[in-house]
Amino acid sequence: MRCVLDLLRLYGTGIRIGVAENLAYRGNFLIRFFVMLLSDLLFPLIALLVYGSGAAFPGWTLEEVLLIQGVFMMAKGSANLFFFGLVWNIGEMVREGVFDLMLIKPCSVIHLAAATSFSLDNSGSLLGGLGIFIYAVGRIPQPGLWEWAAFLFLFLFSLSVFFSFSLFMSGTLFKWVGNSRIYEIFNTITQFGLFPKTIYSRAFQNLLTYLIPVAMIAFFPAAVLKGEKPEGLLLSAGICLVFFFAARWFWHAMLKSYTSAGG
Amino acid sequence: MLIEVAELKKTYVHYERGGSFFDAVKSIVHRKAIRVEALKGISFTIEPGELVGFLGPNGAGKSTTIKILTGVLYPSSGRVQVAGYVPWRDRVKYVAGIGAVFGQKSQLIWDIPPVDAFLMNKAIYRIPDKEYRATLDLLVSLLEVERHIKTPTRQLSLGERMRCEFIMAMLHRPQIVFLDEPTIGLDVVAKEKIRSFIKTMNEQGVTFILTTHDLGDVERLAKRVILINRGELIFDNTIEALRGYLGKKKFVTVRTAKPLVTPVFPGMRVLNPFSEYQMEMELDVEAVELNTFIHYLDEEYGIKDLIIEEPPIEDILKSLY
Repeated sequence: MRCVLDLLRLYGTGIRIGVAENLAYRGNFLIRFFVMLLSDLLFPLIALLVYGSGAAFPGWTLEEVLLIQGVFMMAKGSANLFFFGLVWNIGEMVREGVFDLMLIKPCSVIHLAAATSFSLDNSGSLLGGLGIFIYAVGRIPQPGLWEWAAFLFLFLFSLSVFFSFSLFMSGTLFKWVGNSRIYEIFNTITQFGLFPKTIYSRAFQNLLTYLIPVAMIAFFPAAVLKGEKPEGLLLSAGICLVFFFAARWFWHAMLKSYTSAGG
Repeated sequence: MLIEVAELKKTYVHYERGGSFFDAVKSIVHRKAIRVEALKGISFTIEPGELVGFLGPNGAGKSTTIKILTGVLYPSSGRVQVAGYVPWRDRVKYVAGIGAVFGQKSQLIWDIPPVDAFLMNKAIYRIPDKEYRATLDLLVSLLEVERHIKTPTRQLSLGERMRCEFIMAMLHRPQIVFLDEPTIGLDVVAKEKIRSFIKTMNEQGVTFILTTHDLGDVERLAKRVILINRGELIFDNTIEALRGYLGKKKFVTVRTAKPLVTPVFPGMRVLNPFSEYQMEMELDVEAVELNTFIHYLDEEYGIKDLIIEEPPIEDILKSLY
């Protein structure tokens, strides 16, 4: 219990300092806030264009597609806001040789890097996602208490997928310093989660469900909110846990190859 | 014994690449690995409350040793115990009791005042409110930064920033502090404040391991010096023993009433004949007693001014490196 409180205190302080840092340059903060918001609205706009032209994703209404995209943006926005910055945080520190300072602190380096990466700029993404989510939820059959509970539970799994990705990505930076294109690889893979997985081929669906659990980011949480019991849900949840522990193991294994910078 | 290091070795693998276009393309598929032995089996011990100067030229292995001692790096082989812990194995528990100031790596946060950054360490080290307040007040008054801790870090001078770095490193009252170039780039006043702070904390029982190229830091603070060169420990003794390394020498600068016709005296060597009446000489006090030599100078030339100094440590280090 004390450990959890200490962790919350660490994250609380990280958030407080992150807010102070972001607000030190108000102009930059406002510009980044709106850029994040607008850039993440691209895919919902594509969905609107597709459905507006009379086409559709087979078996999915516009509101259901927007629900998936809203959940995706909320998960990505929350990840970016609270912990995903650890990838850049660690990358920059390793390259500049100041990562040593993280290793001389008596706490988990992963948590410390995440707590010190809070970025208020990314709240634009979260708020945009929340807006689309509320719009979409208002236009589908109203979910019951059970559906909401299942949705919230799976939303935690969705965040765990982002957290695992952040560990895999930051882990590589200990060995391949300055690996600046890693985010594009991640972005390309996760963007498949913006659409219903059933529009892809069977083999690709299996890949997104059982190998790299991208379908858990938005498809599964949105599906249970609609009252469905999608195929492969439980197995995919299990895969998320395996993915998380594998990422954690990988990160610590890669940390051992950290050589610091000369000095 | 607080720190025990035995047969510590660390080997890095670097990759060599030529500068030509062909070399750049070739390096995509093949890179020549170079093994660099940064530490070749060094051993030493440090007692609680010591203030040890850790010296050596660039690339000697000082920083590697400090990084292993702070748990940042894994060694290739050897044994290290600090306060009963193996730094890289028991990292989280171990680092709770140590502090570190790296002159070229800041723990402060650029855009916000140091006092806000201190809160991060308060949370990390789980310092209770009352203890935090008391320690902060003490450190702020010792380092004279009352006015500066509420100013954004980017607006502070280097000296003010460095003093705040010390607060950041010592808020949790560590018993061992590693200092890596803590006075680099500072003016004499700022250096003096930092040195006086280190001295005060050392008198209160804090053990310091000081890595520096500023021999003023070592001369003013350290009682013991460890010298490392090319990954090997080449000297480990008191600062007095270091001074005596080149033999017992004194530097004598004298101004006289009568012109100084080059004096010939056993064990004496003229270093700088500044003018007809002023000269700097090196005296081997094992060959001739200082008293005798001064007496001779006064009798022959009439001393008007006299400075007697220890040989500069730089000269001794140059001969050792």
